[in-house]
Amino acid sequence: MDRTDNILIQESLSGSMGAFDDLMERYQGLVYKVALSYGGRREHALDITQNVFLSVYEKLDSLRADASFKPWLLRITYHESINWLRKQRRHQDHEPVDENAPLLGRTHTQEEVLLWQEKAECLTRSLSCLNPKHRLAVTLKYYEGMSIREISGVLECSEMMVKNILYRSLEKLRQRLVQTGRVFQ
Amino acid sequence: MSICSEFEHLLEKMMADEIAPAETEQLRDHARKCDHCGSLLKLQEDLSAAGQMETELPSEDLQGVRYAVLRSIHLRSLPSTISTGRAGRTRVGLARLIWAAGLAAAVFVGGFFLGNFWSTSHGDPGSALIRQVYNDARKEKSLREVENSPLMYSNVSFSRVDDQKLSLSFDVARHVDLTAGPEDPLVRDLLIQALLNPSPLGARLKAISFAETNRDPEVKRALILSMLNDPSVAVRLKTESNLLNYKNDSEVQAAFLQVLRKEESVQLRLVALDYLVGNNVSQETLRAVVRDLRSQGETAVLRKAVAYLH
Ligand SMILES: [Zn+2]
Repeated sequence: MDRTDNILIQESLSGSMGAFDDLMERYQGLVYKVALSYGGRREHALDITQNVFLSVYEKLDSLRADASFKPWLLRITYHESINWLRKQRRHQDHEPVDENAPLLGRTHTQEEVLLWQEKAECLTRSLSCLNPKHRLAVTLKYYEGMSIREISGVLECSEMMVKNILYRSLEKLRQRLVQTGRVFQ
Repeated sequence: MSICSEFEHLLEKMMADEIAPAETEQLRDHARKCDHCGSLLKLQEDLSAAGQMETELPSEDLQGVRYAVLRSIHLRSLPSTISTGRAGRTRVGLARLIWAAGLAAAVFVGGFFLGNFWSTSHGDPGSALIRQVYNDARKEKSLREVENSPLMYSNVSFSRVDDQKLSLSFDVARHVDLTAGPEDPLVRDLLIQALLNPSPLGARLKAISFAETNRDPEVKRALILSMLNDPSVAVRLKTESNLLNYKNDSEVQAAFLQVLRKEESVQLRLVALDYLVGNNVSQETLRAVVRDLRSQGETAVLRKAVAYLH
């Protein structure tokens, strides 16, 4: 049977690098996908992912024994992504997200899949118009399939607030898509 | 409440999967009549569908990220010594993966690294090892005999418990000579420890040679850690050439990608590049590598990598 997060954390704290590797492997996809929603490109998302796991290792012993790992990890991912965005701005080499660029790592096969994929990718790209917190809520809800309750645990706010954030994000996205002439039929 | 703000309320319920069928009807009905709300509903549905699409994960790169994290943790913990309290809790195990040059004395050849234990009043004096430690210490011994004892102590610390007792903490190693078959699990453990624990250069090189015939996955991982972390270029080169035998192995591929990105030695990087090209690395990964190399101002490796691009 799979070892629980808690067991892996305890083993990591007593120095097992294998356990920490297992923990990273378990969550690398989640962290990477959330990071991709901020970094926009594979290389950036990988950089953020690396910072997240280093930060997790440093802070691991501050995680309360009764707290669950996933929301805590997602908060770290969020903060590391924000840090990354800030650094990008400071270094003035921020590459604006190209809303027409294909997302890396997708394999295109049939034509109709391709058409829909282009549309979906364009939608995903347009999430960059949302503020970081709203972007996280939308990513967790639609891309990670998390419940409103789980998201409220990550954002540390009420469920009502999460719903409100999601609604306002839809409004903002709609405006954005109208502005760029990409209204979906 | 206006009709549109009621729609807002219903849409929030829909997003929370709390909406009743009758309410869904009500929501769709309004969406058909109102352009604004209609486009919001469409967007919510498109997002749901877009989110269902699988994002292909760059698993090789993520494995590389994990190695980089582990490597960075090793390097950061280098100056820290084994101590008590919080740091001890998190670092004792790590110390076993660290090369401490000062500890690499010749007496460790073939030695048996048993880890540290505490011989305090809370210790377990019944254990065979502690009994052996006490027996060895009780004999009348000259300085020379103590120095040449088969039990070797290191990482020793003393503290006073009370007027009657001292608390002792140390690692103990004992020299052992044995014969064993090549498949014996002890052989695997010794290979891994020789690669990852403090041991002299010669012992590490010899372990790498013996590891060539051993296909245990943990030995492979020890070789990877050695290639990425060993302070000696000679050792890293030897582990690298040993790892070339692992064809189309995703862990080895990820490690070679790390070498290409982080290794100081050009020689190691050129070999890593050849391996990757010979083992069906994707053009996309290769392009990412070329980008990295370019930003590092690399020349020899870059020229070779570019030649491999279609
Ligand atoms: Zn309306």
